[in-house]
Amino acid sequence: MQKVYLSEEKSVFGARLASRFREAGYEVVREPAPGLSFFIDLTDESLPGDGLSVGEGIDAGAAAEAYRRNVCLPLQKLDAAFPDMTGAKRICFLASRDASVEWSRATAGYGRLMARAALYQILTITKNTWLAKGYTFRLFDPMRGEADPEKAADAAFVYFTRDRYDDGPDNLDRNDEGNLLVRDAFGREIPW
Amino acid sequence: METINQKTALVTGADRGLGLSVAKGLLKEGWRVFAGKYLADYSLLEDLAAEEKSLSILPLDVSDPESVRAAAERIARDAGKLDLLVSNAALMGGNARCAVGGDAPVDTDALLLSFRTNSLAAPILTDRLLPLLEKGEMKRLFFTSSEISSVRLQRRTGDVRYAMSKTALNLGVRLLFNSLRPRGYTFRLYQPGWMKRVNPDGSRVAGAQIDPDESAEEALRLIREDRIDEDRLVLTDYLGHELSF
Repeated sequence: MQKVYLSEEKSVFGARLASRFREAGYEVVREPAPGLSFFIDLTDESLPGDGLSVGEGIDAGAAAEAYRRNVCLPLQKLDAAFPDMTGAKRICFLASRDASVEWSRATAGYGRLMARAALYQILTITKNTWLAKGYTFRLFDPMRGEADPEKAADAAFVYFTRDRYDDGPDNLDRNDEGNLLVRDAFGREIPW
Repeated sequence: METINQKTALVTGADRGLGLSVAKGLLKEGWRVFAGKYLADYSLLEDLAAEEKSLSILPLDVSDPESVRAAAERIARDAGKLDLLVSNAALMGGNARCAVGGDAPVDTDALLLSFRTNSLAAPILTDRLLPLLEKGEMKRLFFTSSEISSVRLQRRTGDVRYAMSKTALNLGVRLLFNSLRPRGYTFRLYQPGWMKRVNPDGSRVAGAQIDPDESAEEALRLIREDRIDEDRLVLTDYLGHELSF
């Protein structure tokens, strides 16, 4: 049975995603370990002190803690699973349009959103290294507060599990699986 | 010596390289410059201060909230306003191991240090200096980023520390832009190029692409001139070209 690491299933989104994987015959585990087919991290923590805008006294400590929780801890877990993955060898993280330099309209949440942008970068560089060894990557915006979380989880399940090879895995530089994108719950691509 | 209506700037990371060259250029153009000093083994700023009465050197560690507070107090006391912030201070990658999937775990302490210095310091500085910037006329915010920050253009493998920090910086600047552009602030996000490293005696290390003085020419143009599209946040390089995020 293929194993899926899922960082949480307490949220409606996480519970639904876990349910979809179990229905499809996967074993869902809560601790990263060698031998996983999917590494799925749903961390997206907002800290109360990280909610200030410029001019309100941005809290450097809270922002740094948000970075530690949203980037450093998930990367430590990814390191525990990597590079001994099997099967799909797929690494999935959450994204947010508020962390898009081109699209964001946010004015607060510096630590959380800067962490998300940094995560896009490390996954891109990791992809550059490991794609040729069969590892694939997904970034998904669940559109928290906008999309129904169960429907968003259904969309995530499809996006996470379906290959994006147009003509097989041999031409990685010429098909979608070779490119890391952010897609939202409606399937739209969000720019960096 | 401040003169009436003399424009005032803070340049961080002014010990050497782009920061020092921008500070020199601003002084030539008649600015009052507060220059952030961090590197104990460089005295190029002191040499410049001996010739330039409009230059004030500030001890400044941009990752230290107390140091930032002290710098803001000094500028408030000595100038009472700020027209321009040049947020330039940064740490390079160093020797820490920051790549996923190798022999040792990712050094998350190193990632956090880079985040505090290269990413978070820019919005924190802007936040703490905002009362002074509000009193300035120009309201221009300049941030030194890098082409390595571009996720779309990223082709590198291996160490991720510097790239992550500059991508995070770009997003932090976007959040500042969203708040401050409607209040009349203008933004510059700059890729200075692969610059020659400057030794403590001012000589240049061989190699690299351009001299910091050359890169500073474009930076100064960006500081000096208004753009026709100030409502767009763009990352531009030392050739004036716009880069993808």
